[in-house]
Amino acid sequence: MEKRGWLILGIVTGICGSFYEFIPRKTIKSAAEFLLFDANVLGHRIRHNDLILAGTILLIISFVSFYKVYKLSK
Amino acid sequence: MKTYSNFLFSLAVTAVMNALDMIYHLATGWAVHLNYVAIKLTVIFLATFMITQFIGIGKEEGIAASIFGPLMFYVYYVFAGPTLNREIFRLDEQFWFIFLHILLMMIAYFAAWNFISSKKFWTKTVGFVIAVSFTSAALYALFVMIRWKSAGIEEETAAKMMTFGFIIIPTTAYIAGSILGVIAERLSKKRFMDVLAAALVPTVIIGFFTKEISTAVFSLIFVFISYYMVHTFKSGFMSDA
Repeated sequence: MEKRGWLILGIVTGICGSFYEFIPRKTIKSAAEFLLFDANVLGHRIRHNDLILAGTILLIISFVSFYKVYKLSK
Repeated sequence: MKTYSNFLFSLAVTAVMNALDMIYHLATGWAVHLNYVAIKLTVIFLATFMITQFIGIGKEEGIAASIFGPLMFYVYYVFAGPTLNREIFRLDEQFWFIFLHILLMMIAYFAAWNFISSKKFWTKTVGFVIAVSFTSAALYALFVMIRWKSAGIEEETAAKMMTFGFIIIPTTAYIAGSILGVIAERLSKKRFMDVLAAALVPTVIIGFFTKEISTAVFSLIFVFISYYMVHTFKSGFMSDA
């Protein structure tokens, strides 16, 4: 993947990750049932902490993407 | 092969970091809880693996992974809702623990990295001993915690059973075993002798203290797994170089 692709990946995962990680559940719950709150996946109820973990993983991907952009720019 | 080597390298770094972390927590009276260890393993592993896979391996990457992994774990702690009673479980969620985790992560990363890249015998050997023995200790601790959980032991009881004595005896046995393995390899010049010597010590010691054949057998298997991991990732990196 080229620099531009890494940059786009970093931005997208950064926005999605920040959304799940930093915005309090109460603030977005009413408009965001479609965003997996209280959904069931293979019999496992998705809890708020699962989404925080997903957000953390997306932020890791975002960081690595920006780090890659930095490396490609050097 | 490169992905598999990176996978094993990251797994070993994560396991060593967690073993060191567990030892510190149990020595100083902090709780070690399976679910929290699982989250820590996931976050630290993913950060290390992604940096190793997409950026590379080296000093700068090691420092980046060592800072970023614990930082993301702290971020998770801050935003996740508490699921455990903090009056019973004293957890490592204070800010200053980031610095401890960074230090332990650096020890883990640079031990594995020195084993791969160092030309000096002692640096390489110390890196190897740390990588093999603490990976085995982490696998052993995880095995026991999972066994307790599957046996239906309550979280509170399991946390009380996790004492410093629980982890320090197997860790010491694994360190002694891996040092003996290095000596055996130097003396005999045969590859399998080091694994046999390294596996024998923890098997006997853990078997003696736990008086359980199954635990002793698993402690033996963990040495084989650790040896396989470190030698496989090393040969993977050497063939790429």
